[in-house]
Amino acid sequence: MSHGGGGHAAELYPENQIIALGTLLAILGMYISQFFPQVSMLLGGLLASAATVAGANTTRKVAAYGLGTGVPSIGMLSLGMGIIAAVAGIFLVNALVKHFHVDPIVLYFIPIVGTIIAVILGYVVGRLTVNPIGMKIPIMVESMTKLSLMGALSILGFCSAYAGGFLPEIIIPGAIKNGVMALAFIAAGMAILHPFNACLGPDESHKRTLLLAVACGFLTWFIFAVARLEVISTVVSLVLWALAYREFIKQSLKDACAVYYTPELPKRET
Amino acid sequence: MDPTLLVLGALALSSAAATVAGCAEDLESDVGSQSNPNSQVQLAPQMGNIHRYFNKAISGEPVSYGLYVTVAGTVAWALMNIGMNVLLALVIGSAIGAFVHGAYAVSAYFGRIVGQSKSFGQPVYLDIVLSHLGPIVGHGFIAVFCMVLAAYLAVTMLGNPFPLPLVSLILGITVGAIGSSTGDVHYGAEREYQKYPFGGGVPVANQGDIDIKAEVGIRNGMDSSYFCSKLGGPLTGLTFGLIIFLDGWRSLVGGILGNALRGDIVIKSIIAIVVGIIIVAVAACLNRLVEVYARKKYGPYTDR
Repeated sequence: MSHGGGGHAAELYPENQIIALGTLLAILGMYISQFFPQVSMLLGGLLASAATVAGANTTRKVAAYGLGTGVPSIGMLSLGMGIIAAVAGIFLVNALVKHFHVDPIVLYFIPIVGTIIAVILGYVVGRLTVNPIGMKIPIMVESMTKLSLMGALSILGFCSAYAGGFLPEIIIPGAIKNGVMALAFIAAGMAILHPFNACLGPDESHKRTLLLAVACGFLTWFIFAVARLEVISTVVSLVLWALAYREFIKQSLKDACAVYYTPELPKRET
Repeated sequence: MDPTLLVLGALALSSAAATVAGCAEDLESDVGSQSNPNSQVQLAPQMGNIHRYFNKAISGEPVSYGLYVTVAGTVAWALMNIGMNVLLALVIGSAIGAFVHGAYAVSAYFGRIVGQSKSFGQPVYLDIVLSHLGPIVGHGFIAVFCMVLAAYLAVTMLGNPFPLPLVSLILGITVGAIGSSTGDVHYGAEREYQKYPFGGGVPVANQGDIDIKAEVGIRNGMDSSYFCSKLGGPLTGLTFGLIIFLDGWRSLVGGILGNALRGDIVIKSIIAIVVGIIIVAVAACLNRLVEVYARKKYGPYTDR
């Protein structure tokens, strides 16, 4: 057993496909939140959870090289890079428009700018972990870049869904100054780190981890919907979460070697 | 009423809340074998010990409590913004936090157990899930409610400049950190390794070789929580309560003495820092005395 954490089992879908889909959906979600604020939580929140699912999938890939103790750290690192990129994206563009009198149209590129900053930041952090720190994980740089990207997209996605847009005059008072970004940091972080952290082991399967990732993404969406006191999004997210969660439990019970309802230990065959 | 008295009362109330929260948090993490003891529970089937512990691997306690308390704080903050009664808002927020906690706990048990089920023959015990979920969510609710209350007091009474969701995150991470550092000692090395002599630590060769039999029947997480409720939980609560109280008291003393000396904010801060250094020095000396006493009285650290 070279990899104690598992996670090298057969993949249902290639990682890059999931990353590309997560990025596209999350950015689409931000634009929906901006242009249709009435449905920002309903659609923006749903699409932002795609970023956490993709992040959880990358966590599975990179954390499989460890024993399982480093998974939460990787999730927190991902969101740490993500929150820097997200805040930098918003404030950088804001400063460009305010102090350097650039055309205000660039404000609408905030999600793109945040994405680019996240990719650069993740690449730099990945190089640093390989060179001075000396972690011998072959996919480290690539994975750090992806994790930083997914962290930034999930934070920006949930914050703009909560505030109803990503323009600085909406998102800064609506999600940053009132502290909701703290919730985006920790809730999205848990949704990214928990699926693989929970499912790791020699019998880990991609299907179960992905199902749990989807359930955790919907749960994060549910948390934001409740915090925004929006009834329709709350109900829809709760129903979708329950469906994904039930599927995960069903699959777990199917994959277990035995399911007991009574306090008894299995007989030893030896 | 004198504002200093009001602040002192709020400080006492938030310290009391922190004490209860620390105790409940530690007992909750013992029911679910979270954080440090969790790695031993995780290793047990690989060492041939089929167990009936609840394997609640939701990252470390600081991160997971950061999540629950932030969820509770943000929801309560949103409800207060639309004019709901403060206490009711805090209770509803904590209830949402407890729901999130339960959802994460059950998924962690299924994920971790099934993740090594076929290779090492560890079965899924559904009765464990059902019987342990109540104590986990219940203790979690108490801890989360007390922490959100402390965060609310910090924002409204104690002059904390940050918004409630952010203060909730910080206090949630703190309660998890104290529960993990103080409480796990009583559960991890003592309870899971009861068959080995006390004080010897856990050598690598013994890792995963945890006790699976209880006083009566097969051991589960509830037995651990019962064991820890005597010393581990209350001590964790006391530690956390003291941290919150002494830290607040230190700045309060700085303020009062600074006013008496007619000093400005710099003088007040310097007095507060000096008081803090004195507290840390006294605590370090006391710790050393207790450690030496305990080694002499209980430890097998005799001449080998």
